[in-house]
Amino acid sequence: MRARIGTWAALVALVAVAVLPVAYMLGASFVADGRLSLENWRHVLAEGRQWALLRGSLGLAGAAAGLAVLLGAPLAFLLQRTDLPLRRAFRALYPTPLFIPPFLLTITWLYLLGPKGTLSNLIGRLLGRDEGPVLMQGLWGAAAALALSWYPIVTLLASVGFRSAQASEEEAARLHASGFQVFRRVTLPLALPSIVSGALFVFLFALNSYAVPNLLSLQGVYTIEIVTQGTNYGSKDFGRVTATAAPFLLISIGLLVCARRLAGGRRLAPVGSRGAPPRDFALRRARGPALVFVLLVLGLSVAAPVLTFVAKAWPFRVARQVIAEARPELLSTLGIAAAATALALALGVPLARAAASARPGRLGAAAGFLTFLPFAFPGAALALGFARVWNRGSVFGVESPFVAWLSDLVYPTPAILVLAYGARFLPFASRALEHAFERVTPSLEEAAAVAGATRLRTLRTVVLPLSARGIAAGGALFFALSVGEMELGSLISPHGWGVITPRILNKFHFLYEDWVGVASLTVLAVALAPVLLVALWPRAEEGRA
Amino acid sequence: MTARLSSVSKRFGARVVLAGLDLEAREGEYLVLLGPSGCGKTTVLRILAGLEVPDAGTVELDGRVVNDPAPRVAPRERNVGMVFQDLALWPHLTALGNVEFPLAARGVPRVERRARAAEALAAVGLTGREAAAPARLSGGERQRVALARALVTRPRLLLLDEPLSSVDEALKGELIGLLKELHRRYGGAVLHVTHGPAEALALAGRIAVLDEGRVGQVGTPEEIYRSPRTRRVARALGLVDVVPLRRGTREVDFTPGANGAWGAVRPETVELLPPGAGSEGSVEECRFQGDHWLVRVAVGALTLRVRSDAPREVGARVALRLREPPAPLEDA
Repeated sequence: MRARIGTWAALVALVAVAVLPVAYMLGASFVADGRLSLENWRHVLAEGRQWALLRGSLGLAGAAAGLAVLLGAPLAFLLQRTDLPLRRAFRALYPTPLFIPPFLLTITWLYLLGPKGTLSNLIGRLLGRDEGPVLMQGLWGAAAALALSWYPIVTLLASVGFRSAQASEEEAARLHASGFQVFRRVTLPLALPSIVSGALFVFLFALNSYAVPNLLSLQGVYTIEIVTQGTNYGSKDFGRVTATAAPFLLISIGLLVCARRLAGGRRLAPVGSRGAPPRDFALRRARGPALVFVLLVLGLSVAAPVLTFVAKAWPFRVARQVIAEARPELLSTLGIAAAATALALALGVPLARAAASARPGRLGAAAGFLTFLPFAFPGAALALGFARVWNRGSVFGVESPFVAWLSDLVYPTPAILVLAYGARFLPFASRALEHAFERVTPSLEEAAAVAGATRLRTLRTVVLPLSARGIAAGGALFFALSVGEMELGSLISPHGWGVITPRILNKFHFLYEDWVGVASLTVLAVALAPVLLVALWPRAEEGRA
Repeated sequence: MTARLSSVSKRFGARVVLAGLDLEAREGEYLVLLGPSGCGKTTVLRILAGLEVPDAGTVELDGRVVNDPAPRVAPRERNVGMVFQDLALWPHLTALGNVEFPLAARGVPRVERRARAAEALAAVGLTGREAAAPARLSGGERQRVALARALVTRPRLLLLDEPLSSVDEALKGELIGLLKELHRRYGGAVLHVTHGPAEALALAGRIAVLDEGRVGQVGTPEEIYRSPRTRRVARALGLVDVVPLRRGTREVDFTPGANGAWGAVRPETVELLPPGAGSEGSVEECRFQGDHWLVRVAVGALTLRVRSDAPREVGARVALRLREPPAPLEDA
C-alpha cells in the first residue's frame, strides 16, 4: 500500500511537472478572447505556411531517420551478430554520440565542412578553387548532424532485435536456405520491428529538434516557427502560438505511441521456450569492408567531434581563462543538472518500479505511459509551456497569494530549469530505471518476505544490490543529457543562472574557436564522467537459477 | 535414406558428449534414440543435420560421407527435415509461411509451393489454420506446423528432437498416432530422440539407448525392454530392480553378500502371493498408480518393486515369485 502511495505521489508530481505545461498549451489553443473557440485552429490551418512547415519538418525528420538507419542498423548487425574483430570495444564506444549534445556535434561539423571549414578548404584547394564546397548546410546538413547524434538509438534497439533471434530459428532455416537467405528471410525480419522503432524515435527527436536547424539557419521547420512566434506574439496571442504547436505535438505523440508499441508491446517474441542465442555470422571476405564501415561511423560520430574540439582548444593556452570566465555558467549547469537528476530519480524510481512490475496493473501502465510521454514534447514547446504556466503570478491559471509565492519561487530561480529538465529527460532515465527493476523479479522479494525480512531489509539486501547499478546508470544518463541541454537553457534560463550551452553557442557565433573548444571539451568531460564511473561499476552477481 | 555415424566423437570444451558413437538409421525405419537429458542425443541430430561438426568420425547419408571438410555438405544440401525441441517456428511468418519456407528456399514456384504447403498442413490436420501466426496457435497446433514444415520437402531422413516433451499426456497420445501415420505415409527414415521410455516403446521400430557418449544397446523395443544388457539400458526403459543372481543360474539370490552376476527384474514380472508360497518378505511401501499399486517389498537384503492389483498393508508379510527369470546383465 505504501508503495502504491509513493507511486501515486510520483505520478501526480510527474503530471504537474511534465504533462500539465503541454496540456495547458494544447488547451490554450482552444481559447480565443477568453472563450472556448476553434478560431485559433481555423486561422492556423487556413495558412498555407502550416503545410509547408509540416513538409519541412517531416522532410528533415525523415532524412535524419533514414540516415540513422543506414548507419545504425548495419552497425548493430555487425557488432551483435558477426565475428567482426574488436567488436567488444566497438560495442562500448558506439553509444558515445548520445552524450555529445547534437548542437555541439553540429558545431564540429560546421568547423569541418561549413563555410571556411577545415575540410571544405582542403577540398577546395584539391579542386583548385579559392573556396571549398559548403557541405554542412541546409536540410541534408541538419539531417546528417541529427543522424550522427541519434543513430546509436537505432543501433541500441536493433541490437535487441538481432539478439532476440534464437539459434534454432536460424538453424531451422539453414536446413533449407543459404546464409544470405537465412539473414534476409529470418534474421532481418525478426529484427525489423526494433529497427523501425529506432527509426521512429530518431524521426521524433529530429522532428523536435530546435538547436540544430537553428544553428544551420534552416527555415521552414515547426520548432523554429514555434519559438519565433512564441518570442514575437507569445504575450499577446498565446492561443495562436499554441495552435501552431498543437498539430505538431499531436503528430509527435502519435509517433511516440507507434515507436513504443514496436519497441516493446508488439515484439516478435519467440514461440515456445527460450532457446540458445544464435551463432555469429562469419564475415569472411567482408571482414575488411565491415571494419572500415564501423571505423567510419565511429570516426564521424565520436572521433571527429572530439578531435575537432581538441584541435580548436590546442594548445590549451586559454583553458584557464575560459574556465574562469565560464565558471558561473559551469557551476550553474552542474548544480541544476544535479538537482534535476535528484528530482528525476525521486520521481522515476517509484514510477519505474510500478511499470516494471510483473503485474503492473492500471497504475503501472499509467506510470509507464506517462514517463514515456515527454519524449514527444519538443524542448522548444516545453520551454514555451513552462514560461507561460509559471510566469504569470499564477500557476495553471490559479491565482492566490500562495500561488504567487510558488510562482516567484520557481520562475525567476533555477527551479524552473530543474523542473523543465526533469520533464524533458525523465523518459530516458525511466527506461534505464525500468530495466534495473525488471531484474528484481517479484519472487525474489517474496522469497525475502517468506524468509522473514521486513520491507526495509528486503529493499536493502535484495532490491538495492540488484538495481543500484541500473539506478546509477539512469541517473548518469539523465545528468549527461541535462548538462548538454541547449533549448530550455537558452529559452527559459532565469537571470543570473545561465547555463553553459547557450554561452558556447554565443561564442561560436562570435568566432571564439578556442573558447568553444575548451568549453565544449569541459561539457563533454562533465557529462561523460558519471557515465564512465557507472560503466566501471561491477554488475551485481545475479546467481539466479 | 540410410544414415550412419561411425566412431563419432564430439566435445564441448572439457565435456565429452559423444565418445566414438556408432549408429545407423536404416531406410524406412523409425529409430528412437533414448537417453537421459544432457547425454548428447540432440548433438547426434545436429551432427546429422550438419548444424554441428563432429571432432572425429564419419557421417554418411546414403553411403556418401557428408562431414568431409573438403567440402563439407551444407545443411541445406542434405535433404533432411528436422523438428526442433523448441519447435523454432518463425514468429513473423504464418503457419503456411513457415511450411512454405523450405520450398521457397529451393526455388519452387509460388503456386506449387502454396499447394504443397497446404497439403502438408492438411496431412497434420491443420486445414483452415494456414493464416494463423504461430503465437495464435495452441501447443499441439504448433507441434503440427513444425512437423508439416519438416515433411513438406519429403525428406528421406526426418530428425525429431524430443517432439513430445512439452505436450500434455492427452495430446501426446494423439501426436504419437499422428507420427505413426505420417511415417507410414511419407516413408523415409526417422530418427527420434527422447528421454521418455513410453514414447520410445510406442513409436520405435528399433530403439538405441545412448550411454556415456556411445550406443549402449540397439534392438527392437521388446528386446531392449526384456533383455537389457546393462543396468543403464535397463533403467532407461523404465522401472527396474537390479538383483544378484545365484552363480550359474537365472535365479535371484536373496542372501546377503552375493557374488558376481546380476539380473534386471521389472515390477510386472513379479507375483505377490500369500506368505509361504515363495520367497518371503514384508511390505515397506504401497503407492497408488492409477490402474495398479506399486508395492515395495523387502526380502532379505534386497528390495523389489512389485505391480499389484490390490493395495497391501505396510508391514504385512508376503511372498514373491518371479513369473519370468531376471534378464542377466553384462555389467557387474
